[in-house]
Amino acid sequence: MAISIACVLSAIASTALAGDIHGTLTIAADLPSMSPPPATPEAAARVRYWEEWNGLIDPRPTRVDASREIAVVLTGEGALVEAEQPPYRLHNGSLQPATLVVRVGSGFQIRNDDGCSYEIFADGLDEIGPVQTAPGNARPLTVSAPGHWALADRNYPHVRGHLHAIADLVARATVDAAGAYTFHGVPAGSYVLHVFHGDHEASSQPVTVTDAALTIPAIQVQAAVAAAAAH
Amino acid sequence: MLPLTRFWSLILVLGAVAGMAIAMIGTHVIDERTDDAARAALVRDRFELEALLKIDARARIDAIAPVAANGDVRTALRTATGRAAGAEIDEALMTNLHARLGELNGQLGEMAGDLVFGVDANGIIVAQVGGTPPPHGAGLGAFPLVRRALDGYVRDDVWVYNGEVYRMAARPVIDAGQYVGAVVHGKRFDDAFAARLVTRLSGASLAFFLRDAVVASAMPTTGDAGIPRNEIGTPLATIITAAEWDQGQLSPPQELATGGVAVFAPVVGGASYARFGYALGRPRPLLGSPTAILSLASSQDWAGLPWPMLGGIAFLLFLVAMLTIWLEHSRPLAKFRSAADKLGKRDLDRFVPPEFGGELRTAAASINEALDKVQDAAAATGSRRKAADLDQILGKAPEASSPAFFGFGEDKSRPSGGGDFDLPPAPPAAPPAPVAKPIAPAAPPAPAMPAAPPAPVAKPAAPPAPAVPAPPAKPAAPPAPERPKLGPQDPLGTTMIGVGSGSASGAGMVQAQAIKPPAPVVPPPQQQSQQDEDDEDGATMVAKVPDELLKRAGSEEAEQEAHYREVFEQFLATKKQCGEPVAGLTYDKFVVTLRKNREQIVQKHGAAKVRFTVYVKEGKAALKATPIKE
Repeated sequence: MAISIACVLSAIASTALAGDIHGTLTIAADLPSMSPPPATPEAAARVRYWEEWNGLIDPRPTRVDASREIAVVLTGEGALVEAEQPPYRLHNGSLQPATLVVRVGSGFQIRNDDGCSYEIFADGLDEIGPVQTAPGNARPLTVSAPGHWALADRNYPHVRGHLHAIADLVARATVDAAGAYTFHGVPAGSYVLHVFHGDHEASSQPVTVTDAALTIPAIQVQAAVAAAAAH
Repeated sequence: MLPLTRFWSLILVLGAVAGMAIAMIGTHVIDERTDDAARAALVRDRFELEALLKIDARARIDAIAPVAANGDVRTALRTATGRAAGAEIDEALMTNLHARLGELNGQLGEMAGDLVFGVDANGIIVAQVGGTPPPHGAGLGAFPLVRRALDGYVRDDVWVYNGEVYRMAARPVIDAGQYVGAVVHGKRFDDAFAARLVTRLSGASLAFFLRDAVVASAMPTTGDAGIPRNEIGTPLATIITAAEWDQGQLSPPQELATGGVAVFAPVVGGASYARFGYALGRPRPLLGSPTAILSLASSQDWAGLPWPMLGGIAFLLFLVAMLTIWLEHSRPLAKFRSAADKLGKRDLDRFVPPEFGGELRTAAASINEALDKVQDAAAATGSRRKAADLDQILGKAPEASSPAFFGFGEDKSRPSGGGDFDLPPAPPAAPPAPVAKPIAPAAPPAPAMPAAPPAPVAKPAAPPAPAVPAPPAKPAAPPAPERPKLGPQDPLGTTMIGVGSGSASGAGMVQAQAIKPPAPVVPPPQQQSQQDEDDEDGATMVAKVPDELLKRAGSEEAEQEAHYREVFEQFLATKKQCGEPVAGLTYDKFVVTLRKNREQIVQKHGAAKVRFTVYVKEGKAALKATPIKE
C-alpha cells in the first residue's frame, strides 16, 4: 500500500528573500529498510535463540520508518547554504537520517545522542574509519572526494546508512516521518532536486528557486529496481 | 656356530622390533584416537554450550516477566509514552522508575541484570539500572531486540554495549491493552558465567572473546588440565576473519601451542557481527612416544598387571637364553679352554679342530696354522741367524749330566751302563761336526768312576784323531752282547718309546732301534808303546792303524750312520705326527747335532756309545740320548 501524502502549501510571495521549498514524498510500501530483519530462518537463528509472541495482545506490524532513510537535497551553483541544516546523529539506536548527503570538502558532524558508543565507518573510505563516538559526543568528518559509500557501525549490525559526497551540494531538506520535506534559506537560482534512499537516487528533477516560496509536486519514492527502470 | 643362540637372538630381536613397532603403532593409534576423541568432544561441547546458552536466554526472558508485569513499571512507561511529541520525559518519572526497576531487579536474585532498561513505546530510555547513565532522550528503539519487544515479542540477543558484552533479553510492557514500552535486561559475559558453564561441559575449557581479546574464560577445575586463557586467544585473529565465521559455523579444530585443540564459533546474537564468539578447548594428552604411556599409567594400572605370568614368561625366556648360551657358548668355550690348557701343558701339541664347532673350529685351525707359522718363522730365523747351531733345533745336550742322570753312578744294576737324557726338539741348524769322534770309544771312561771327569782323550776340543785311540786306564770291557735297557723291551730287544699326541694311547709308538754296541777297540801294546814314544818325541806322525781297528771303526761308523738316519726318519715322522713343522729339517743338519751331542755325552760320561731314541714330550717330538758304557 502506497503511502500518499498530500501537502498543500500556500505560496508566500517574496521578492527580497529566498523562500522555503516544500514538498512531499510518496513512499512506496515495498521500499526496503536499510536495516532489514533477517531474511531467512537460518539468518534469524543466528541473531537470537528466542523470539515469540508475548501471548497477551497481538503484536504490532513491523514499522519501517523509511522517511528517516531518505534524503532530499539540492545541487547547483553556489555555496552550501549557511542556514540551519538538519543534523546527522545517532539516536534511538540508528543513524538519522540513514542517508547522508554531504558537500565535498565541507565538514559535517555525526552526533551521538544515545547511551552507548558507536563506531561508524564508511566502507571503502579511509577518511571515515571505525572511530568510537562516546555518548553525547559528536564526530567531525570531512569527505574530500565525490562518491558514495555504505555506512555501518562496528558493533551493531542494524546501524546502517549510506554516504553521498557531492561537489555542488547546496542544501539539505528536513524530512519528517510523514514524508514532508522543507528547505530553508535557499538562494534563488536553478537547482536540481535529488531524492536519495540509501545507495540509490530515487528521484532527480530541476527546480527553479525564486524569492517566492516553492512547492514541489509529490515525488514517488520506489524501490531501487523500480526506480532504476523508471530512469 | 651358535645356531641356537643366533636363532634365539633373532627371535629376541624380532620380538623387540615387533614390540617397538606395536608400541609405536599403538602410540600413534592412541594419539590419533585421543585427537579424534578431543575433536569429537569439542563438537559435542559446542552443542552443549549452545543448549546451555539457549536455556540461559530462556531463563532470563522468563525472569524479567514479573518486572514487565509490574504495575509501577507499566504506569511509568505508559506515562512516558503518552507524553507530548517532542517533549522530554519527566525527571521524577524517570527517577521513580529507576528506583523501582532497581528494586525489582534485585528481587531476581541470581538472574538480576547487570544492565536493565525501561523504554517507552518508541524505544526512548525512561530508566536505566546499571551501566553509565545515558543522556536524556537516548533510545534503543532501533535495536532489533527492543524493536521486536515493542512490537509484542519476547526475545533474546547479545550486545556489545559500551565495551562490554551482555546477554540481553526483552519483554514488552503491556498496559491497558496497549504496548507501552519494554523491559530490557542484560547480564554480562564474565568469568563467573563462563565458570558456571564449564561445570556443565565436563572437561572443556571455555572462553568468550571479542575480536582478538578474551573477555571471559574458565577452565575445568577437575580432571584434565584446561586450556589457558592466553593460549586459547592465540588464533583469534585468523578465526574471526574466516569464512565460517560469517556463516555462523564452527571453525575447524585449531591445534594450540601446548598441544590442546580448540574450536571457535560466533555467539548467537547481534554481537557476532562485532566478532564476539566463544572458544571451546580441550587438552589432547598425546603420548608422543611409547614410553610416555608409562607416565599415564596409574598405580592401579600397574597393580592390575598379571605380574606372575609376566615374571614367568621373563624367567622362561631367560632360561632359554641361558640354555642356548650354555649350549653354544659356555660349553664349547670350556672345551676349547681345556684344550688350550692341554696345549699349554704339552698334553696336546695342537688343537683338534673337529672337536669344536663353528667359529671355535676355525679358531682352532687358525691357531694351529699360527703355531705352524711361528715355528716355521722361528726355524727360518734361527737358521738364518745361527745356521750352525743345531742345538736350538734338536736341543742342547746337557752340559753337566750327572751320573745319576745316566744311571750308571747309582744304578749299578745296569751292566751296560748309561742313562737317558732328553734332547728337546728345537729348530734345526748346525754346522757339521767332525766325524772323527766315532773312533773315540777307544777311551771310554771307567765304569767304576761314573762321576769322574771324562777322559782327556774325549775332549771335544781335541782335533780329530782318526786312528789314535787314547790309552784307556783299564782295558775296555768286552762288548756286551745285550742291548741296553732303555725301556720296555719287546722280545726282539727293541725299546718301545711312546710317541703319542697328548693323551693318545699307544698309537704312534715307534720302535727304537736295538742297540748294538760295537766291540771295544784295544790297540796292541806294541802299537801303544810306539805311540807313546812318538808322543814323547812331540813329532806329528801318523800311526799305523791296525786293519782290524779300521774295520771295526768303519763298521761302527756305518752303524752309527744307519742309526742316525733311522733316528732322523723316526724324528721326522714323529714331528709330522705331532703336527710340527718339518720345513728346514734336513738330515745333514740333524746328524750334525746328533754327532755333537753324542760327542759331548761321550766326553762327559765316558760312554762308549750313545743311542738316540725318539719320543713325544708334551706333544712334540723329542730325542733322548742314552749313553752306553761298554
